[in-house]
Amino acid sequence: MTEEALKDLLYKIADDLLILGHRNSEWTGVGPLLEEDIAFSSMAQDKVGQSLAFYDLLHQLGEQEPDTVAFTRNAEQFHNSQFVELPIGEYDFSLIRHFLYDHADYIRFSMLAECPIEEVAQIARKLKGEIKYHVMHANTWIKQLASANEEAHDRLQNSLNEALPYALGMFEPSKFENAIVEAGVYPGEQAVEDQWKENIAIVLEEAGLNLPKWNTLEPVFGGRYGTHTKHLQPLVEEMSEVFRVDPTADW
Amino acid sequence: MSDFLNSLDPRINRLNIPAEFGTSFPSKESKDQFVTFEVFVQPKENKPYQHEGIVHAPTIDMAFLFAKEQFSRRGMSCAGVWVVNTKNIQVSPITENSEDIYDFIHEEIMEGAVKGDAEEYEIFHLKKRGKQHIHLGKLEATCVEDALFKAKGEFQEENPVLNIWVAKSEHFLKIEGADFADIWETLPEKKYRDAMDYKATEKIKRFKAEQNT
Repeated sequence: MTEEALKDLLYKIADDLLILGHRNSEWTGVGPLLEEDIAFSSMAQDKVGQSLAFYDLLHQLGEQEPDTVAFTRNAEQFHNSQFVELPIGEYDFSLIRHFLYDHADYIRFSMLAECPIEEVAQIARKLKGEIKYHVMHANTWIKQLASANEEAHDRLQNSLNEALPYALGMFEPSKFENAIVEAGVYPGEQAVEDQWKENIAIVLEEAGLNLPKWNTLEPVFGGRYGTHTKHLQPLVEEMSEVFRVDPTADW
Repeated sequence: MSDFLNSLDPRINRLNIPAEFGTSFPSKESKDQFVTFEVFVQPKENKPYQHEGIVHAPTIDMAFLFAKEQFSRRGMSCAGVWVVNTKNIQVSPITENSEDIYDFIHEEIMEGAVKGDAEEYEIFHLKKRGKQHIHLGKLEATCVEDALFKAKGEFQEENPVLNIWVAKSEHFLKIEGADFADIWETLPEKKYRDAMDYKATEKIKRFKAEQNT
């Protein structure tokens, strides 16, 4: 496997984390209750911190400084799935996205924890516990809200229906998919997706939410190689606004 | 029951409803806020749990979600979190002038107490005003008064205890142990969550010096 293939993998993981972390931080100060506001903001901060671990590793592999990578690229240079760049919507959508994303991430990190590339395995092992709590948070909220009343249940169901095609976009195969799997880096996106479908189905069934038949859904691909929605560029501009005031400043 | 113990739940006292132990609090038709849960954090393995504060939540599972991020997020270690509905904690009076609350607890406290099957109770001490309640341990008792009386035998110390909390073990949600060890692992590294980690003094001095030249 080439270094290019490894970088491709690291970039998509890091960019997903950075963009979703930034998106979720938009709830800071306006969360549904104070305690949840703090919890959700804290997890958003975790995600940005997790992205830094991968940007640091990319820097060791010859890429630019993490700040440069995070704050000076345009939307089409990002490798995140379109799923994570979608606006936060109402809380039901943000919760569903958090649920669908973190289940996938937990599986991916669990697999990468066994990665033969020790630097990658170390990061995955270290951060897996944070994501485990994120999954606990998501599961508890989804089950609680889905059984709260009809409005809450219907809102979650609608958000789930809306989110699923984009969520499947998380598993867009890499250009280097075969090489990565053959090298044993991790079992690959298809394996993550299969496990993800099993895991989310268990929680959704408990919550009384319906999963449509998978073959009726068209995954929204493209994000991994620069095709994004109109929502990403404004996010990137806002995220990098302070940095761009003085790119040489020492923070 | 003796009137020695009171509910910790402020809504019970504020509403001036007799907090008869063992009777359930009449529920309001519509609630204007979530109930509160008390949060206890174990800062390190083998250290006692200590009270950190409260969270509002609709259920005990959600209380844990909130407790974890309110009370174990800033650059320190954590080995476990317990949450318990505030109404499930019974609280003794608070003493003044370094009197030991245990000196007011005698066998008479059992008069009128309704005994049940032996169950486990958790005991917490407040040793100094303004500090947190610290977990001392658990014991088996047939009712809360029995737990308090037994606590005197087991946990009374040389230094006075100002206030005691008693709660049944079964009412706690305890997130701890090997199954959860990994969720706290990176906490000590999150110094960036503390304002103290942003060391700006030198930079401000340098900036001011630049401005003056």
